[in-house]
Amino acid sequence: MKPAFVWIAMLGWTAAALWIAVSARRNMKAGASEFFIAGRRLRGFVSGMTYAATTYSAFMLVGLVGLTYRSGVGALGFEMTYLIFTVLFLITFGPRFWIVGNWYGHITPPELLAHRYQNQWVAVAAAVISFFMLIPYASVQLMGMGLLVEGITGGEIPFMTGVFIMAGLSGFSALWAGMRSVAWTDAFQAVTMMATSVAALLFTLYHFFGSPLSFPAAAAEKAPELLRFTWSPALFIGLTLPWAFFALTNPQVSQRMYVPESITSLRRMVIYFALFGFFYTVISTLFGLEAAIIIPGLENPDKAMPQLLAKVPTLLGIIIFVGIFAAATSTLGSIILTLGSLFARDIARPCYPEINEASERWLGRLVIILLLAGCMVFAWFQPGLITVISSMASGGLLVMAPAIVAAFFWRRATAAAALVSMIVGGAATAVMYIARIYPLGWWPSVWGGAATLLLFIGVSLITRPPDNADRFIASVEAELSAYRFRYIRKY
Amino acid sequence: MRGFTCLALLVAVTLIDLSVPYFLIGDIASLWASYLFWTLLALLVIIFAIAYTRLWGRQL
Repeated sequence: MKPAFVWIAMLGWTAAALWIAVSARRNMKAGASEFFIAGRRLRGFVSGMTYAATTYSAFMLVGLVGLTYRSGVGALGFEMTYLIFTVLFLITFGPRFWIVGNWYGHITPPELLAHRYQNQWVAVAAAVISFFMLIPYASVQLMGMGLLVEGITGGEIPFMTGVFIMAGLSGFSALWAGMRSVAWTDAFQAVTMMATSVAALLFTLYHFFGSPLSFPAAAAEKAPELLRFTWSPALFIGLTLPWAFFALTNPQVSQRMYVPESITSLRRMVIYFALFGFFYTVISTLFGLEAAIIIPGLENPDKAMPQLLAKVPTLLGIIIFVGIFAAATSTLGSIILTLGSLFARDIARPCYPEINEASERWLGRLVIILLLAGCMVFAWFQPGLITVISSMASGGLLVMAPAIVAAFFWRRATAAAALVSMIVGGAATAVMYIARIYPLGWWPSVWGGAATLLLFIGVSLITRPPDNADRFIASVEAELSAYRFRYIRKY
Repeated sequence: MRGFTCLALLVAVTLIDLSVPYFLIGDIASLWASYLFWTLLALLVIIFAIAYTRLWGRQL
């Protein structure tokens, strides 16, 4: 593809995203919650789209396409199982996070843990684990974009140019107006992702298979092995388990349960996200099956989508490229903003309790800049280990699941249990991933998750729960029962 | 959603999600087998979520 076309697409789309980010600042007020969670005043559509754009990264149109290309329908099963769990978790935990966040002014998910367990160190541990797991994940987004830009232009646009442009846009969105500009650009990016992928899918189905209706027969004839479910239980569960709890354990998405302006907006956020995820998953896996038929025999399945781009007209290739660029940029922007808020609220504030909200905002901004610089350095070196650490991210964050679930449902849960399970479970999971230890063939996430759960239950039973546990859980349940989640603002 | 209801639903959906492809239709080389099954299962859960949340915000 000619570099000029890629430049025009990248810069044109970036200019539009920047304009939206700038416009988003108009109604911005003072305060940390205004910067980090848009003052809890986002409407349903923007909330749903920022949730979707944050969740679905470039992995969908690159990694999931490649996974489907190589291993068939199991990839769809994995991704749909994730979606099913996320929807059920959102309708269970969404109202609880939202109510408690409004009552007590929580801005980050670890603040909820610190409040419920009456121990600030629980929040510090959760924040540190999030940093450790999410920085490599964010760096992979940059690396993916650098490789894509370099790949589709035959190296005429260098790897680091793609990295700089993406880092610049993500950084600007996060710094300019915090969650407000990130959410608005996310909404634009989500619409771009969906529109471009639908257009590209329809074109490829008509162009290569005659019509969408002919595709099932062509797939059954030319790639029957991909339509059979051949994944081992160890692979399916090992890959799916950490992603199934993604909605609770990844702070960049769980923080979004605080942002809707009303319970109606929260409901719309869940529905819009669910519909987006459903269609985007179907589209991505169909691309994978198409690529397996059109360009079989690739050694590296992650190149299936870039190779498919080379087979379509330039305009369509540009459209798909913009969709992938949007997906990666939105995920990166959301992660760095959330990590900035975690540092300001959960790490800096316990150290300097007198810090005011204006300082928290500036500290968050400083952390965002440092994070972007660190991610670019990671991307520059392209270390092999980063891929392993990146895949470890979801497995590592799984160790927070017991403490988060129990916060709302188990009165006996204690701060000591939350701390021990997160730290020991997280360390054990990380070591197993890095050393590639797969006992009995099962993934580290499965062993780490099981060990974390057992530790959490065991330590809770031998330590004393905080005094507020009963009151905390009972008050939330009473609010939910009495008002069907209708909320009367107390904060 | 109440904790127990959520847990029961998760267990039921997980059992269906795994057992049908592994024991019943996983060997069928057609887009109308495992692919369609997981697509419909996800769609059913989304429809359930839309129906379940329709009363959110209305005082009892």
